[in-house]
Amino acid sequence: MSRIARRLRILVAAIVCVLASLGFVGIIPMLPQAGTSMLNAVATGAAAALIAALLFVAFTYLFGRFYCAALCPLGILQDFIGWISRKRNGTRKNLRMLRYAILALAAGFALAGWVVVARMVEPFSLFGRIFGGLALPGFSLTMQELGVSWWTGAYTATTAGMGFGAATLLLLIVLVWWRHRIFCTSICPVGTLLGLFAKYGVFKMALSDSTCVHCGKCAKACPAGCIDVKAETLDNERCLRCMNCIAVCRTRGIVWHRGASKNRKHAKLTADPTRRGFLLGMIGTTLASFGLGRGLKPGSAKGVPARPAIYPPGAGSAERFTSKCTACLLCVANCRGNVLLPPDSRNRFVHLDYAVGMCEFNCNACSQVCPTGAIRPLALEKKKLCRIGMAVFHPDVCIAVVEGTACGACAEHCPTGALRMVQEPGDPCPAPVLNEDLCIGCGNCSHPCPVTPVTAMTISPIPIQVEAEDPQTYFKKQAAPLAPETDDWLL
Amino acid sequence: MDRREFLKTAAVATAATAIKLNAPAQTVAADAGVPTLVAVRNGDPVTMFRKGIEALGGMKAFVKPGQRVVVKPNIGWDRTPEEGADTSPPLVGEIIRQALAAGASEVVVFDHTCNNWKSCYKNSGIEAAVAEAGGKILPGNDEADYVERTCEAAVIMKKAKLHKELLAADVVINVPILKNHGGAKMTAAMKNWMGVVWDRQFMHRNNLPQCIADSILYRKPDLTVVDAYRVMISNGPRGVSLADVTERKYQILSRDIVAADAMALRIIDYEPAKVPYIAMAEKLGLGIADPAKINIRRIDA
Repeated sequence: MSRIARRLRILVAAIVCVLASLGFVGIIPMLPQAGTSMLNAVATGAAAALIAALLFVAFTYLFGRFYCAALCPLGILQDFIGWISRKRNGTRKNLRMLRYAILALAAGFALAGWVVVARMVEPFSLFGRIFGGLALPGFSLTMQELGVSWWTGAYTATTAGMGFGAATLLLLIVLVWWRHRIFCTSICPVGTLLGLFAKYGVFKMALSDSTCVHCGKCAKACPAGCIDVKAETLDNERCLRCMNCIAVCRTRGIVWHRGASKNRKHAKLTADPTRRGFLLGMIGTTLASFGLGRGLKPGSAKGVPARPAIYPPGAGSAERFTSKCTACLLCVANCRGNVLLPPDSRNRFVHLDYAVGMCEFNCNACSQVCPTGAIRPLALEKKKLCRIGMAVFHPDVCIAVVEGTACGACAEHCPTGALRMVQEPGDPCPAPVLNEDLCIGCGNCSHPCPVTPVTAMTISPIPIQVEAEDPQTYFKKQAAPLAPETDDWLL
Repeated sequence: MDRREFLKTAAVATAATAIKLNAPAQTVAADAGVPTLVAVRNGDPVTMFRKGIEALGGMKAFVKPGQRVVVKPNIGWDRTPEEGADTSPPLVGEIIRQALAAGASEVVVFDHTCNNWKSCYKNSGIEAAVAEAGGKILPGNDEADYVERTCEAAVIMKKAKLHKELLAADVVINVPILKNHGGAKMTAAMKNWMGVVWDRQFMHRNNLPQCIADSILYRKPDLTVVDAYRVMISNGPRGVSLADVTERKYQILSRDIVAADAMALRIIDYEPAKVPYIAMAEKLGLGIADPAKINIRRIDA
């Protein structure tokens, strides 16, 4: 009986919990995740994401799915739910067809550009919807309600965000109650892919020919349900490497071995009799969904038109973003202007709403944290020029025009100098004048506008994000003359 | 003014008169020599403040031992000190140090910022300066920290929510930075008081200049220090580039917030008619707007 390995796994998982939470609130960078790294590599071809994805795969090929037990936040969450619900385990049916179908569909569509299909099954995105959509805003609201002074975080709490988070969590709880980590062994495409590498991997676990006494304790402790004592098998494809079995085995009946050399018998037993059929089905489904995805290529004529809305700087275009974002809500949690919102009934994607906030000029957090590359990383200087919408002035409701009230809230907040207050002869007071060349659509004019219910400055969505004129050079051209140097007192 | 406030004022006034009556003659004479407004120039903000506050009788004339002090700089924007959108951090630090040296029990700093408050506090350099000087910086972005008050004397803004720290303070020191302003034309002493009020949109909607003047009625600062070292002369109050900022190397110190603004006009070279809230505030009895009537002492640092 060796409990050390299991304890080590729990310790690592606990550390990951802390680090992932700190990552979500923006204190440290988020830990790289297998699923999002793969999607990012597919979506952007970014070298860092590709290397991360390959490292996860290589590690799994060597030692098995340790990632699933100790590093995946959704996996850790399921273990936690299982632990508090005192979930009892047993040998589970191997639902190959289901998981291969999901993987083939997800992979085919993702490779065709439709990364967004992973939204409902990619584990980090699901975790993010629970953590960023429900837990973080819920915690923040509670802290504010209790008046806890050290808590100064304000996280966007939307009904839709919290609702989706709660629904996801509930579904996860039901799945765990029913079959513990069935999500990881039968649904999660990332797990399925890693499982294939584990299955043909280097170091594997197995029930020992000599020391196993077939007591069945390991099978009862296995959340993946991958141990079949009667058949004397331990399915490395589904094994999450939680080390529970080793911890409960009193006879050292679970052993590590290299490849197929030692336990040839068991390897044979776990081998799939209809392997060719599965392989063909997999490849066929992947190719079919790839073809279908290419046919509906984002931005193609046959494609579904993307919903016009304001998307975060770095999204590229509405079409690109809505085909790539898996709604993990990491950007929403890190948004300094609290203007990025989770998907809701009006817009099924992450989007900006200037009724609740404005895009902070001096911030590019969303583009830096996006794990899937749906928001491309933008340097701060580039982000300050990235036009995500276009301001529209409505003089018919502006109080400066209609009532002659000297307001100027819009021009005051405009960070690029695109808006200025100009008083024409005969006007009662200065009114806003927009220079579209400088406008980046950040909503710093729209959000503070005191006109209700619809503000006098609104931001129109634009189909493709472009670079606006650089105000630094624009204003250098027409800098105001400095006051003459004088030794006399100015006052 | 409600009854409690009236009684308080009356009590303080009576006490002050009593003290004055008992005080030796030379103190009264020294008081008479204290100018309404001190203008300092050609030094760094800290040196100018040291000379200026000395001319006003020193920090001890404002802060008594055990008093709670609020220092209200302009920290409205997520910008660096060089960009001249927020008050100079060393100046804020020096005021805190002097207030603590004068015996203040605590010095609190806050602003109701325009950008994300954490970014503003950090990038303006003021958070670090406050911590280093031994003050306490508090958020001003939470409506729960604002308390509703009414004011009959106000022309338009007859009720407003003000930051609780401001209302709880014994001494309030206003430390704005002088800037061009798209809406209000100039921002300095009085415009800085928008940062103690919760509902700025109300002010924008209902005659901004009058609301700015009205806001002073709720709690007049005991001392105003206008930082005019770097002056933003275009694209204010946020500014777009460093080209918007010029070095004037001035500082204005006064108990009179209206006089401070009236003289700040000359540093940024604006006509009084351009900035109507100064005359409005004078009409409310908040101070002197006519430069000819202001007793000024000019100091070269």
